[in-house]
Amino acid sequence: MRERRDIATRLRPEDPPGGDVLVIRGGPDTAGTLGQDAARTAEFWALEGVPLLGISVFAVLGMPLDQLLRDRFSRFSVIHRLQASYLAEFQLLPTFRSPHFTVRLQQANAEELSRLLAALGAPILNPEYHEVSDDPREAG
Amino acid sequence: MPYVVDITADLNDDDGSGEIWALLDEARDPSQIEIGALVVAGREHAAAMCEVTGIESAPTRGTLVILRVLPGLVEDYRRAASRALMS
Repeated sequence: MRERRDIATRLRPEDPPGGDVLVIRGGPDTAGTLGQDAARTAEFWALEGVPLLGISVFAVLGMPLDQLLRDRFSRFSVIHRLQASYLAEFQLLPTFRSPHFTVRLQQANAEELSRLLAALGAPILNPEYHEVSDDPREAG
Repeated sequence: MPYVVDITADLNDDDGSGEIWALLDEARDPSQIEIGALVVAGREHAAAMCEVTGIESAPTRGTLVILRVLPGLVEDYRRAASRALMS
């Protein structure tokens, strides 16, 4: 059996985003999907020897929102868009390649997942998503 | 388009290498998950074509599956296959 990977080796030396920075997550999420994703992350990653319950988000840092949506979220018809301040109760870890962050949960129980879902807000249409017809006759 | 995925994964996960992680017990048909297999990973509302690049024992939940996310949309592959197989 393999050990969990230590996410400390993948932390960037930077502070969490300021409260007014936009944060994006491809959706739509429910408390159930958030719990599944957090549990999956915990199977793969650990921090300080503890399984890391976390979900992925991206901050709008270093590139405009439309570029981030094109580069990272073109497969998502809807996204969650919020200010980082809405995630103030959670630890935001600067993980992997900027502008990726991991929202760390403590227990990922129903109450915490419900609060996270409320913080993410209702999903909105992704303006950079372009549905493709699967009819080959419409291929260009 | 709603997808019926081969294996559930979070396409938000991006460790910078182009790979994401999944669990074999979230595969629709685990027998289809083998190194080199092309699968559709994600969820009903967002999915991607992926190549299975790794299969490892998980700490507590059976088996981890490492997936390399391939470029483009699932529909792009369907259209390309349709063109190739058109008689």
